[in-house]
Amino acid sequence: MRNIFFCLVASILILFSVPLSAASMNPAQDAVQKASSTEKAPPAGTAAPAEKAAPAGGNALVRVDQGVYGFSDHAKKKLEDRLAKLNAKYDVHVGVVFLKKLPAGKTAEHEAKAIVEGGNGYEQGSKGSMVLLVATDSRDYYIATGRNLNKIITSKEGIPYIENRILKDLKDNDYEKAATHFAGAVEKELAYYEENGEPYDPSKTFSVLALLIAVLGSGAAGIGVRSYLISQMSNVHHAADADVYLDKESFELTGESDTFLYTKVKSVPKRKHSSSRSSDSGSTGGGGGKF
Amino acid sequence: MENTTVSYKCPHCTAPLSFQPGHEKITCEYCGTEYEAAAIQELFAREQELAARAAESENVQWDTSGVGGEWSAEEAGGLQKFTCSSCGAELVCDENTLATECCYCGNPTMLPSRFDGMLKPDYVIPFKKTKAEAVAALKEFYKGKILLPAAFTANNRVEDIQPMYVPFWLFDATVSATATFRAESDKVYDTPRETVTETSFYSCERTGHMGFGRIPVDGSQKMDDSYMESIEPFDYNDIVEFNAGYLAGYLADRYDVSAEESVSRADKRIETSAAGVLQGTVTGYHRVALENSVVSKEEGKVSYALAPVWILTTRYEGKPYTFMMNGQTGKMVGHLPYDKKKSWLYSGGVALVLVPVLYFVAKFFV
Repeated sequence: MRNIFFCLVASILILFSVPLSAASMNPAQDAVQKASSTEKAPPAGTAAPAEKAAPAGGNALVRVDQGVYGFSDHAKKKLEDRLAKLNAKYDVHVGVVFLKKLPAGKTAEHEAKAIVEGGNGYEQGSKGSMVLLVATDSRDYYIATGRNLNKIITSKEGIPYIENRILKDLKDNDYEKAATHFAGAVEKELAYYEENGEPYDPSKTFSVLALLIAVLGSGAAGIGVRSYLISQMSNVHHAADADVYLDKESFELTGESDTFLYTKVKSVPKRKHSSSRSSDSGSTGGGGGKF
Repeated sequence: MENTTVSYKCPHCTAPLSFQPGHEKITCEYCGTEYEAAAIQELFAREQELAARAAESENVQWDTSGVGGEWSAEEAGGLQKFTCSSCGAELVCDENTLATECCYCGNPTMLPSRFDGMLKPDYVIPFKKTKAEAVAALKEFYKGKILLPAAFTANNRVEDIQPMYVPFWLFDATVSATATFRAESDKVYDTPRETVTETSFYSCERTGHMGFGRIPVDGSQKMDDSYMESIEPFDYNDIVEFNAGYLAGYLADRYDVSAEESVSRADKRIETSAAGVLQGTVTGYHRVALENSVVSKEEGKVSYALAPVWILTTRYEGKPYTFMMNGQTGKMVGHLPYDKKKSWLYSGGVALVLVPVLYFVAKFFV
């Protein structure tokens, strides 16, 4: 009874919250928009975006190995600029690494964590570092967070949200798009944390699309229930067949022939996604798997 | 005035005789004497013959030209007057009435001239359900209908209850049917990288013979076909050869839709069932769909029967609502009014409860 009452109250609140929350339905997005409209100069001592967009190397924001296709120079430059701005704004160090192959005997998780823990000269940022590492040959990916960024973008909620944003692009081999979506998702989570002082949890945020689906689905179900109840008010209908009057004993099958016509084949690729996830208890966190 | 009707009166006490539902015999409600239906028919055969002759002679003398031109000859032909043998009142019936009740003295009255020749039914299915059972069945019919307006049940009084023998054509047929079906069969297997579904398509043909017995098609224009088909089936174990004694105390109509006009309805039902029977023999496939069917009659026979129907009429907000009950099996059918406000309240309530549930489900996926 309490649950039903809760559901009713919740639905009324949700219905009434639509017009009220229209202006602030996604604080994270608002924060991002606000941030981009009031762009500030990087703090003293921080490298300018152009300087940060260094060629692929130990500290590069965008590192794409030889043999990894799908990145134009222009797109790479654009992404480097975006990450540089993001890093400056939130005082973090976020980058992407696209490898052709993983070093022998190493996993994507191992490599990604090594990077965020300062390996190969990767900068840390005062609030932490983060990297998306993709190995295109073995189709592995891992998103690692280090230096306390794992407390801002958590392995349990924050990383799965980013994975959801990039997995489809990775499966489609659209690495440029995956990297862009990665940057967007990270920016959204960082902005949310700055605004609310707690990690972004998609399950706690209001979704207009989900509400729209729920309202439409509920409306359809309500109309279905109404039609069913109305149909119960009459049992008058034409009889379509004479099955009741068939003398079953009289039936005799006198001819049968089955002719093969053709065959259609439909193949569906198997899902290869498998994921691993770190806990956020230590200095690093993250999650990844196959795509 | 000559008697053109015959009242079945108890030879013992002269009280009106009525066939009591569920009884084998005709019982006098007043003195309790029981009679075999055949004995009563024989007893009143002579009276019926005389009444029929009287009715015929009246038909000949009935001149509509002096009625002031209000009725055309065609219209007047549809109405006939009879004399109640009990009170002498004139009864005006339409051309299809076989049995009725005198509106003045309530005496059950037969119109024997209507039984003759092709109009005489072959069979009759006697009433088994009483008036009280019909009223109880209607109340039962209201149960569980949550959209039924409260005022409908609170103020509901059955305005009229009539037991009526409705004319039915019963079609017996032996048919030969051929049908073609599209059948599909799936084979699913896995490779290391994919799940493969192979769907094979077949054309299947089946031919067979089968027999149908006594498919009823109502022969009355007054009765709604959908209502008559909804009260089916009748239990033919109780069907008996026609005997006018069974009509005593009931209304009865003769057919006004001929057997030829009713054939198409029976044929359509036979075709659907024949194709269904043949489809049942197409086995070993995952999906089977009918493509085409041809049904030809090898043998067909039609008989004419009267079947028992209780007709109940009630009124709500000035609109009449008719319910019909199979007088043999007790199956009640009809349309009930529904409360629009209630219907929207229920659907709105369901939608309101579902919104938060679906919201969280949708949020999980988007």
